[in-house]
Amino acid sequence: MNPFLKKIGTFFIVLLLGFLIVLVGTKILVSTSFDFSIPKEKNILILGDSHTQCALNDTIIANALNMSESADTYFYSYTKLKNIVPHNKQIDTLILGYAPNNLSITQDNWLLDSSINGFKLPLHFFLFDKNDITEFLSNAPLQLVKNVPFIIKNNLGHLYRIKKKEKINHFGIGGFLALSHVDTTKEKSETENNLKIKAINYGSKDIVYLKKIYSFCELNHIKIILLDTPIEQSLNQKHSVFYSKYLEFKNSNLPNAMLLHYSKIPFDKKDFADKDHLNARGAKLFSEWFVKQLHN
Amino acid sequence: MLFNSINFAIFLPIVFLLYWFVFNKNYKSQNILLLVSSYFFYACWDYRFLFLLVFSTLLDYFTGIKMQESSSIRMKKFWFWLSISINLGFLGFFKYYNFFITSFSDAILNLGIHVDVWTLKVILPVGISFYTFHGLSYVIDIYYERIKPERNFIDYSVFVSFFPLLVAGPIERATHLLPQIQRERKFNYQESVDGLRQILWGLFKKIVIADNCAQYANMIFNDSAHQSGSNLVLGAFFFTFQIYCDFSGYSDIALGVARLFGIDLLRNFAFPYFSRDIAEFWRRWHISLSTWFRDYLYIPLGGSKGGTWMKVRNTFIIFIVSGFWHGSNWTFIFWGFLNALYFLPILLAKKNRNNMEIVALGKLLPTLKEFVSILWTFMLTMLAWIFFRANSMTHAFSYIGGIFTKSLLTKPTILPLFLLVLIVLFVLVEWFGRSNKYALEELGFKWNRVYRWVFYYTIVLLIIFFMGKEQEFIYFQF
Repeated sequence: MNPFLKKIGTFFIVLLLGFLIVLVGTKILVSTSFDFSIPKEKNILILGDSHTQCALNDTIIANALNMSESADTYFYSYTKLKNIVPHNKQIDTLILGYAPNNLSITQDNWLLDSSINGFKLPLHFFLFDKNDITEFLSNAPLQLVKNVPFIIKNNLGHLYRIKKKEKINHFGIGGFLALSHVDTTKEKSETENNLKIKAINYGSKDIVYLKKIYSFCELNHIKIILLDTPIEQSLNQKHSVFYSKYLEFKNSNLPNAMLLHYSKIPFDKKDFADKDHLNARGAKLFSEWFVKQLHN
Repeated sequence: MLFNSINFAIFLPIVFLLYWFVFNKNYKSQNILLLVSSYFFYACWDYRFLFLLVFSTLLDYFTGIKMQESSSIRMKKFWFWLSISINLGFLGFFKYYNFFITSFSDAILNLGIHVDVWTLKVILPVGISFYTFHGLSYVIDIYYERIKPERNFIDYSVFVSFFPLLVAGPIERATHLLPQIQRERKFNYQESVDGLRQILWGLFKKIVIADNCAQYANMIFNDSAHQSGSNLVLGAFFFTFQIYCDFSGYSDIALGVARLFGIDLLRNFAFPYFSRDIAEFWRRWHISLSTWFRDYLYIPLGGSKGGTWMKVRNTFIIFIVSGFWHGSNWTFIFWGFLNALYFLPILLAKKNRNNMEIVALGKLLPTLKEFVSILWTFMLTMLAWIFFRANSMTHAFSYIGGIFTKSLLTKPTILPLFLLVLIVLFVLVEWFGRSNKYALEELGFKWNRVYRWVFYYTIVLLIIFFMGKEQEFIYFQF
């Protein structure tokens, strides 16, 4: 029995050590060789989830770089911000997605959701510093362990892209997304919407990172603009009950941030890919209009 | 708890260490540990159905004893049929009720009568077909006095619920498994190492081949109306490998895990895709179920001893019942029927026992005749799998219809080269290991430790880096 356990133990220790070495090695290699610099004319950084990712076309807003990514919690936005800003002193404005749902408990659940982390963690791990890793380990240690092979796989992919001198928004960690389809879903009845409203609660974990983003911007003299992108009318009705909390949170925790509450801008149904997201056509219209607002 | 999950990777070493270090005083305490672990393993799926498993175990345990104690044939028959009817009743209720009621409703709708039927809205208790068949074979064997009933409830419960075989077999026999549960088990180094190798190979089959094939097979089957003929052929090809690697992978893991506990389970697969005819295929595919049907259905019905009519009847019964065992859908029944059609000419020509030996034994390559036979059998099997995988008969026929179009000769648009390379590698390993219990049994076993470990690490890395999207084992739904 003992020789069996010894051999099995040795086998797995060698395997784990091998993984650990490759994990740390590739992480260091990617982190140190990754080119975080963005074109000098781009002084606005856009971060957030799929709402900002689909709404702001950074080829139209020429002085901005959209690094939002679907299902990004503030935790992931924060890791990107910490890495991009030090390499790009020209960044003076951060546009950050800020909708009522970003304060909800769903956001906290996403932070620990294994399927979301299953695709986000491996892509973003190279952005993590010691604190991020420690926090992740304390919140969801198994998810980190489970994803080690995928992190290595993605790190190797990143190294290949670095060698090919790919742009920062070609690494799967963010970039404008042009959705081509049009929302064809039917309007739900008011009763159905009201039923959903009661089911939403406020979160506590991810907003910690929202506050961290705010502090980071304050410290680096970056103007922070909170943006609530257009959504369909029916969803606006649903969200309306959150607005007081959402404004209250902004006023008490993010006093110097500017809030652009554009969710109620009446876009046509054909400008949406679904109730939450503008499609390419909607993004074009919104971005063009948004550029004018920025100039004003 | 899936065999290919982190949870199982934690569960297994804990049970293993407790089994050999804490509960190793005697086999009885080891059996208690196995039973508790097995119930925990099952409860991880759905603790509510654990009561069903316990009830089924109690039923067969008591009816087994009652049959032996019966003073009259009438009483013995009473206990026998009580057990059979309750066991099949549960299976029928959970697995087939919806099928029968909706088929009935559809049938009378054709007569212009509309009936609102009540359908069952519960999931199928995982493993019910497997543990019910365990219990049935036990009760039938006692009834025909092939075995004596087990008096020790713990031992009997372990026989029914031993966790490696609980949810997807192999379907064990009391004559094979119970004696192993009732004797001292000593740790065997070689057996355990071999068990681990079998687990490793099972994981490779499941995670690398089956799960990757599943992604493409699902993609093609779910959108079959818009696929070219060549894509549809590839879809059927991927499903053919998916189902084999999924189920035989599961069986390899189950057998390997059982060997870590000093228990030898029945072999379930013997390289079926190297079969030269359908009869050989069915001797090599899901062996524990095929032999179960042979022993408890085919032979009692008269087997192939009677006249031609009886042979034809029995062949169709066994294949159709086998198809129906897989699921309550006409597609499974037709799959069974189609296999009966394949099998019948061989049986009637008395060629069903022609290919008993391993193909090209001791040779590097098969002869041209053998190769053509293997290819033909593989294609027949692949065609039958389309019915097994399709959502409905209409889907299956439109899928096959889609294959035989001009687009069959076009280049497939879905052509994952990495997967095809992996499949070729896999088939080569299986071919060279076809005379063993599992393909990896002897491969590299005599190499020195460094090479051997490099070989194992390579498989581990292949598993990790070519891991497909996690899919549940197909046979869990049966």
